Amino acid sequence: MVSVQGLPEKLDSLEPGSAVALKVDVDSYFEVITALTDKFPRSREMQVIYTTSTISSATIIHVLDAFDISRDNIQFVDAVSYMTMGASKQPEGVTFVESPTMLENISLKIEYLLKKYPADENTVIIDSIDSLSIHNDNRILSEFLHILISNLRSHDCFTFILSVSEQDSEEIDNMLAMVCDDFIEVRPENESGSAEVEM
Amino acid sequence: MADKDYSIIPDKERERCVTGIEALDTILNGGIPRSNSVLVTGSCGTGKTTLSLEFLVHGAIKEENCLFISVTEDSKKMLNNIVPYDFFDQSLIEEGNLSFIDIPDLYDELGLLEKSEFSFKEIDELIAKIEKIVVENDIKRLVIDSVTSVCFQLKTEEKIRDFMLHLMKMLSSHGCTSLLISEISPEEPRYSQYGVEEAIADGIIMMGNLERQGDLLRTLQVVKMRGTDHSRAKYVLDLTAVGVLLVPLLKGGGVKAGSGGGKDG
Repeated sequence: MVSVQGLPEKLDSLEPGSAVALKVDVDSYFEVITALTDKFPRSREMQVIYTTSTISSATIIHVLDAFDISRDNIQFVDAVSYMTMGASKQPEGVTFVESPTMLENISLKIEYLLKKYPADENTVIIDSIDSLSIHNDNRILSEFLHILISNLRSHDCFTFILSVSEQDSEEIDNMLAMVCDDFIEVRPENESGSAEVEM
Repeated sequence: MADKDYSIIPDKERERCVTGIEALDTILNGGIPRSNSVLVTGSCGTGKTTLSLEFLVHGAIKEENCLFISVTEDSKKMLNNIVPYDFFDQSLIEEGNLSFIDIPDLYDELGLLEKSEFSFKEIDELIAKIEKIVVENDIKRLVIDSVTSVCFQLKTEEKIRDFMLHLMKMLSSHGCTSLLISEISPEEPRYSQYGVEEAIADGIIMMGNLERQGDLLRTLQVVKMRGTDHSRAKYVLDLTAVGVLLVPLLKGGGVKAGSGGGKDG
């Protein structure tokens, strides 16, 4: 378990090609997003491919702008806006997938962005496994993750798969444990400055 | 009787025509065996023309002379509608590595424009005309879009067989690797309109639309390819500015994940 403040240090210790499951508390969610899209990639001049199936790319962009985080190195794969009829125009840096059930198309868009914008190092964020599990059978989801991570490993990408603690599911935890190299629980810093630990 | 060379060339040693479509070359174990004639078959909107054009563009980039024979659509109009590839350069056309011919122009030269049905002699003349172009321009990659439309004017199975056999034999004899586009309706249970083309072709690349839970996915499957080992799995494809991309079709551990399986169209 890692405190949200300790997350950047933990991320810096990862090797290229690592696949990491990040179980995130709702209260820490935006701090984790900040760490993944700003602190971590900025230190290594990395490109970020942010795949969202939870909240729209427009909302995430608003948040990043509010935190004054540069989006120059961030590309979005948005698998939620089409479904909610929120994809009437295509903003720069956003690629839409019609539905979170089109898992192959999510893989294809990530592949496309890796080829379209070649970079020495890449980070791919899947936000989140919980929202994908709402729309997909766990067996197809686990197959998707296995193929995607294997492919991203071959590109030496860092892969982060987010899950939300409040939507805990043993089945999803097992799935992530099977396909990822590392499983990190991120907890908010408590008043004394140390990470909360569940007993 | 003249001695013929019947020595067997192992698959890995046979020269490949690298399509340049990375995932397809992986599926084909390095590319299409050189001189093969491949039927690219599928219903409308499945990406047959785009895939075939990309095959030619990559050939032209490698300085192979490539020819697109357009039957159903004016080639200039088709070029305007095609995905603007990042790797496409107009100089490929200007320098002659990539050329386009509209088949009505060939029909016109042969006096076939107004004919509703070709005779065996006229079929031979058409193949001879194509051969002349292939030889004079040292064409190494050729696409006919679509061979179904040509066959429409042949009417009988016998003539279609004759045309396909002679065309493929001629192209192969000149070391030309070809993609022959075949149009089928979504419900068609076979790989070609007339059922003859699929038996003669060296390879069949089947493209389709797979409906799963209301989503429509473009798919590709190499059904047959003489001269190489290859995957026969189904892949999902995307037509993008960086070219055709493919990923394996997810099966989800069985039929259930596809909500009763998928429906190919």
